[in-house]
Amino acid sequence: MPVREPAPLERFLNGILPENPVYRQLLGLCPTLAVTAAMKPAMTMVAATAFVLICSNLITSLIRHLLKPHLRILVFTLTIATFVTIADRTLAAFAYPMSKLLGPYVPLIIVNCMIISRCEVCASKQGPKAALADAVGVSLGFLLALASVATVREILGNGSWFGIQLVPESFPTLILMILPPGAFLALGSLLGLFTWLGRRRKQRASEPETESA
Amino acid sequence: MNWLRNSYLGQAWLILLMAGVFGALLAAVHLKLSPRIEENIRAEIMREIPGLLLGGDAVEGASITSAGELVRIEPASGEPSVLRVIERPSEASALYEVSEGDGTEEDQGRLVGWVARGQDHGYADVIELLVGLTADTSRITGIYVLSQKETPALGDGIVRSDFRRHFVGVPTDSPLTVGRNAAEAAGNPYAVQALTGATVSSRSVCKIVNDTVATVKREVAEESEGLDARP
Repeated sequence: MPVREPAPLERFLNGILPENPVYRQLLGLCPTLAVTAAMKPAMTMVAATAFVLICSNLITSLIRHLLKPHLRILVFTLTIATFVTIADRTLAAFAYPMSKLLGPYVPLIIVNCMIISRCEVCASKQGPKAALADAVGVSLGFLLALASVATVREILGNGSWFGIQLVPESFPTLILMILPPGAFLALGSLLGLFTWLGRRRKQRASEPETESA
Repeated sequence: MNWLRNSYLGQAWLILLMAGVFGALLAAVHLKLSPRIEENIRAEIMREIPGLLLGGDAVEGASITSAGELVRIEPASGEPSVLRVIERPSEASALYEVSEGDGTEEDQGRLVGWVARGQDHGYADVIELLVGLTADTSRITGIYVLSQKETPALGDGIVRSDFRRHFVGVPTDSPLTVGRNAAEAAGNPYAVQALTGATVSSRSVCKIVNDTVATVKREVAEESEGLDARP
């Protein structure tokens, strides 16, 4: 029996929360930990990753009937590497200080499992409409994850958000939060919170059924 | 037709075709964006030259603006100064002669030092440095990492000021070496302490500095000999 592939709208919605790349699948953790000390680099990373993901998903979907199973990973990598290079050069040309700040993390998008997994799971099996919806949904999910981690770290560690000072500079800040250990603490806490909320929602959903039974 | 389908070409035609198309796309992007990227790099070099030659403390808090060959330094307190940066032909990626003056055409200024751009392979990719030298090329005034893609949290420590500080004021009469630890580097003015877990990156930086210093010293010496020999 053929497996039913999700419709484009379902793909889009799944990518945001139910299959959130960071909080549900634990993919793309390297940029989530490395560039979330502040909102600006985190959002630049999201924009670069979204560009690569959307382009790679579309190209893979368009050529899906020509893919040979044993060579498909090579095709995915070639496609992803091309768009990562374009994103890297574009940042260096139009946002040079940010390109310097992100350093090797932009080229490292090539090995972000989140992108290759979307090519494998969705784009190599479904049409461009579903592939585009999937890429946009997953990008929004990635945005949600990086924005939440960066918000916690920048506010606690620097007292600011997007560079705008929120608390008086005399107010004590937790410098640890903008250092590497702060990334693990913020991600771990938020991961725990999201898992707890997910379980509670499931429990609430199953309660009426138990009561009616 | 079965033999064609099973041949390398039959299996890999899509990859070969994609490689050709993507290669052309990347070449077009490079042609379009590289002048703008070079412009950004030049602006960064001009911004870093005062700190490299005059010392980080001298320009701390100062506003540094550049226009053409001139770099204007306006400190928070005190008189502003102007550096004239002239690019000279060199075997290094670039060589800048830097002099201090009032910035007018008539004023040749006083030679402050030399800044050269050098590059070589690091651990992950090419490392590109700016190396500052005194006017007589006898000492290094500082180094600045223009670009690097070394391992995050290990090799990328070469950009940190505590690593770059090892190079400030080091004489250039002997090549630099890398000490694996503080004990190996202690007491030797030509030894730079390697970053923990990033010996290859540290060695690459030292090699680039040594090569660049040797090139600049030779070219400056040749030029002054040429000037002396003139009737």
